[in-house]
Amino acid sequence: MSSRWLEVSVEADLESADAVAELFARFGYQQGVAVFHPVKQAPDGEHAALDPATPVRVTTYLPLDEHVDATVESLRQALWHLSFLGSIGELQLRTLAEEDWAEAWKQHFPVTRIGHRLVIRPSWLSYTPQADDVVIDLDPGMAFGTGLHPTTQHCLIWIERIIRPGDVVLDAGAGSGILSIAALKLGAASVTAIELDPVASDVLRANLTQNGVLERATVRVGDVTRDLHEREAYDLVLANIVARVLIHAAPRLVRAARPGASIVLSGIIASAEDEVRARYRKLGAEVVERRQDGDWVSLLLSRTRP
Amino acid sequence: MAKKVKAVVKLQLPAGKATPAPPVGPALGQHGVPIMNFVKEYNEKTAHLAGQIIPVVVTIYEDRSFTFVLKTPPAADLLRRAAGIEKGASDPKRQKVGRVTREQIREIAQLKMPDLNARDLEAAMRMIEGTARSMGIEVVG
Repeated sequence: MSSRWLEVSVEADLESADAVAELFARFGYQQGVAVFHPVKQAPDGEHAALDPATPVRVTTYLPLDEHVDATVESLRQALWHLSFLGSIGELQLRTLAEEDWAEAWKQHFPVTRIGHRLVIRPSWLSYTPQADDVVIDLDPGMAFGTGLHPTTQHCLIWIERIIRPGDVVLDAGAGSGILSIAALKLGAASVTAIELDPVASDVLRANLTQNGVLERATVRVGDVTRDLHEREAYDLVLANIVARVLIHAAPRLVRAARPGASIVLSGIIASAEDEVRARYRKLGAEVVERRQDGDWVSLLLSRTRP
Repeated sequence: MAKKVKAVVKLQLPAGKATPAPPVGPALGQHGVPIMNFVKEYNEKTAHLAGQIIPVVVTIYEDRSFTFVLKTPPAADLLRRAAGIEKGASDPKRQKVGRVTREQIREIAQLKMPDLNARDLEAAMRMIEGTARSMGIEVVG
């Protein structure tokens, strides 16, 4: 297999994209095609919609060998025949080397220090811990929470500050398990981690195992708006989800916190902050601290009355 | 957990046989997606569909985690199979390389319905017919 490649791209409107992709598949390496869609984030911070007004970019890759010029020429001609279908731009060419992508994605995941003692380390990087460091080994994967997102960082900073040895913790919407691992490594006696997505919950178990804390964790696949039982009581409740779910699950999350316990709410899009605050105040949980980074707000609450 | 979308990339890949080579490597690597994780997951979920092209829509979040959804095979792939041809025409306006029936168009439209942005089956069939035209496949019957 060649280690140098020609990237061939063209912009096309949404209607012609399929036909262009089909054409590219005929010429591209192993019939592979990538279509890059422009995205518009919805104001609720939860959904992203494809933006139909902006053209998509259709891309394929050719091994850079003696046939490449002829292939590009045939592609160019075939593309011209498609121009009656809709708006199709000029062919754009760029050479790529395998090094450009094979290891490049790892640059996006540095060793990250959060708060005073927490260090997130991806498995391919070495790190020599200093005296007080609490190192979390975490590889990015199919579950949210790599430690790079502000909502995750807000939660970690608070966990580090407020956790007490022996605490019993709830991690509602656990994702990658990063918050559970931090809580356990910082002294929690046990964590109950609830995650809706079965794939994410597999990643969650793997991460708990990797960090040697699985035996102190209970992983539950379930819905935090439904699957929290009345008699459960925790010293610390963590919920890094989205505003809509936090509002919906409020009665159960507040009830799960013992009187005086802290509740960490995160993943709140700024425009929904007031609604979240009002909902929790009504249920007897008052905001004692807030953090904001861009559009994302996190709230630290205390359950004031039973 | 809270998710803010960074990019959406659709890939057309051979079911069960994706590799870190192009298009996967460069297309996802530039967005910081762990390539091997993706390849492994994709191949596991599509192994039973081997022999077909199964598109996958990968959503990449701000923290560079990702999710993906498998789609139905591309209309062109299904049309080629229905018409019994290897590939579409290079000049679809003049050259006709095969034919499919309205009934076959209907079947393909039904299969593709969940992935098409079509109001009803009639609209979906028109979209499939459009793809057929762009490949030089005639619709008969």
